Amino acid sequence: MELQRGDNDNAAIWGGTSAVRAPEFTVMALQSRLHSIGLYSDSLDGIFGPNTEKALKIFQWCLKHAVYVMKEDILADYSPSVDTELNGRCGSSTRSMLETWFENQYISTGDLVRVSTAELSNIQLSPMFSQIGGPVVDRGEFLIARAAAPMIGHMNAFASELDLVVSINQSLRILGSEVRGAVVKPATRSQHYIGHAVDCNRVDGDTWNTTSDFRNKTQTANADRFILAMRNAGYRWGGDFSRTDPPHFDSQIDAQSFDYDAKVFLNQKQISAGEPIEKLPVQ
Amino acid sequence: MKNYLFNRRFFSGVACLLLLTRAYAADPGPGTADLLTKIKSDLAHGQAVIVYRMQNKNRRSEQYADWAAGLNQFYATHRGHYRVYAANQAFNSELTKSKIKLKNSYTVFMKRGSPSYYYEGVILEKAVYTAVDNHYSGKPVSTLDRAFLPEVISFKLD
Repeated sequence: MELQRGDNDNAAIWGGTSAVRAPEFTVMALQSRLHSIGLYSDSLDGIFGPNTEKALKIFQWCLKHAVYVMKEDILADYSPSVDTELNGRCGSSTRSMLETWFENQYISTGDLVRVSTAELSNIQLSPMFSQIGGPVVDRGEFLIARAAAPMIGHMNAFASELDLVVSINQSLRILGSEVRGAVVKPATRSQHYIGHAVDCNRVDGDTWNTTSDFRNKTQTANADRFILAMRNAGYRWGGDFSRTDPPHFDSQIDAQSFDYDAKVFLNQKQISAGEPIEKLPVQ
Repeated sequence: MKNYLFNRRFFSGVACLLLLTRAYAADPGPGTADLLTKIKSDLAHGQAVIVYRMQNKNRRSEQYADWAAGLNQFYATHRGHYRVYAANQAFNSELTKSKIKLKNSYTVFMKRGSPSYYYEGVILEKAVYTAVDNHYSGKPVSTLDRAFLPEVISFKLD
């Protein structure tokens, strides 16, 4: 029997059908497990609704993709080993892994890492860079998803080859933080929300290669070479978008995919809940 | 119990809507008839004014994301000194009268006693706002500011 959306402890519906006897593992028990691993914050009401389903799908996603878990507030590496279907149903294998996580006191977390510009020869933080991440992030550090960290390594290498300085304006962006005091509505989806994008200027001597420089086609030849190198390495440059965005580079995750939804939830939670963030040396 | 939950959810929803409405209250939206009057009043009271025209309304695009984040972050830390408005037809007409070529997206900065600036296109670097602000607040204009300062225009509303 698989617990699924529509199941309801109060109405005695489990596995999509009415039953006389309650199963050993009820919807409320499932919600309780999901709550304990940091994926469900709604009420423990025994009703398998969309929030329970989403939390369960994120758990199944974690089983396949998680890089870290927290154990007693300490970050630990996680090696996904189970190829569970991402279906939002709680069958025997998902339940078994839920119990494993519960017994090991694992709590889900994102894959954000701290990168220090002190360790990067050709990358600096712009004077306009807004530091986020609270006390866990030191001065001179910025946050990026671990899955996107190779992009920073490539940027530094290409900038070094071309004698450019990459001046970072923004990397991770907090979803919803702009609403307070905002004058315009924030974006609904962006690679910045999952830590997969960087906005920057490629400074070439005295030339900042600004958006206006690209519009007027007065950017330097090395700025163009840098973009070409990034493209060839598989990254997207915002200048290629239909709505051009020259400062933007990203290591894209399809914003319509569940991978994106799971990463938004986990990486934004990592910041809002003050979860630990590993410092990662970038090669 | 169900009624109580429904009411609680409903009123939470209404409260969220009210908060959002309040959050965006600085933006009167296109079509506001008295925008010019408001701007003139703000300028007379020593406020700096930013008027933007943003063609791209797609909130799923990275360009929109970077533009909105930059403007909101700047406004969040300078709200006491700046008023921000979306351009309307009347404002566009004033720009046209001053022989300024209208673009689908632009930003105009104004402050009494200071030059007005016109940024063609979408502002994607917060350094543009900071460069203008440094100039308006009498701070020395740095090399960095010079790289990002928009074009000075002979356009006055005060």
